[in-house]
Amino acid sequence: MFPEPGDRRELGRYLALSQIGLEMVVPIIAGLLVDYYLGWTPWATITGAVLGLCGGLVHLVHMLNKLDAKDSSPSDRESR
Amino acid sequence: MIRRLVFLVGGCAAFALLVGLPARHLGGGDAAVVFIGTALLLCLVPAIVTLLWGERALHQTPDKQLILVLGGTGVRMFFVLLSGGALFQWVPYYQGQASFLIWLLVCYLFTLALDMMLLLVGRPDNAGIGHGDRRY
Repeated sequence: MFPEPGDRRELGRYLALSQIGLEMVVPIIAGLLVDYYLGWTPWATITGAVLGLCGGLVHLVHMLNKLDAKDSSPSDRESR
Repeated sequence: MIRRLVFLVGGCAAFALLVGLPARHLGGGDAAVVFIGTALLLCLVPAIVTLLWGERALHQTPDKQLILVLGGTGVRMFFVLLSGGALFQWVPYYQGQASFLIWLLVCYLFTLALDMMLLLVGRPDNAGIGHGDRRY
């Protein structure tokens, strides 16, 4: 009925990915709104897409670093 | 692997909804939805191929990994540029529509990032295979 601990970890990882995906979509929607109200079509949408990509990748790198730190046990670190 | 593919396709579908609906209401009309759908499909096909390709590459030696991942990116860019350019040039509905090219760029960036995320999160080290072998 309930997911296994390994599955739960993976589920958490995919939830974090969904969050990053949303972070990428929000600047695009903001760009669409700015384009519509200020008449800057299409520059704000393009800027939003690029900003979303950069922000998403930066967040991804942070998340992976955190995961790596959590995954590597203290004994692992000592042996390196 | 199947989960990752489902996440990729589901993510693209969610993107089409989240961006397509505001674009439709903010002056794009039905054409914006059609353009976003087409652009996403054009980007999704090579994204699936490069995800499968990258998955294989991650189990190879580091030098092969780099070649395979960069090769995958090249294949994707080539396919999207070629098919998008062909639609823009020869298909009447898309002919001369600059907004189609803009949506193609936006969808390309989104699928590229999604693909990279899935590849990086699915690295063998993170899945516990070969844990501790990573060198920085």
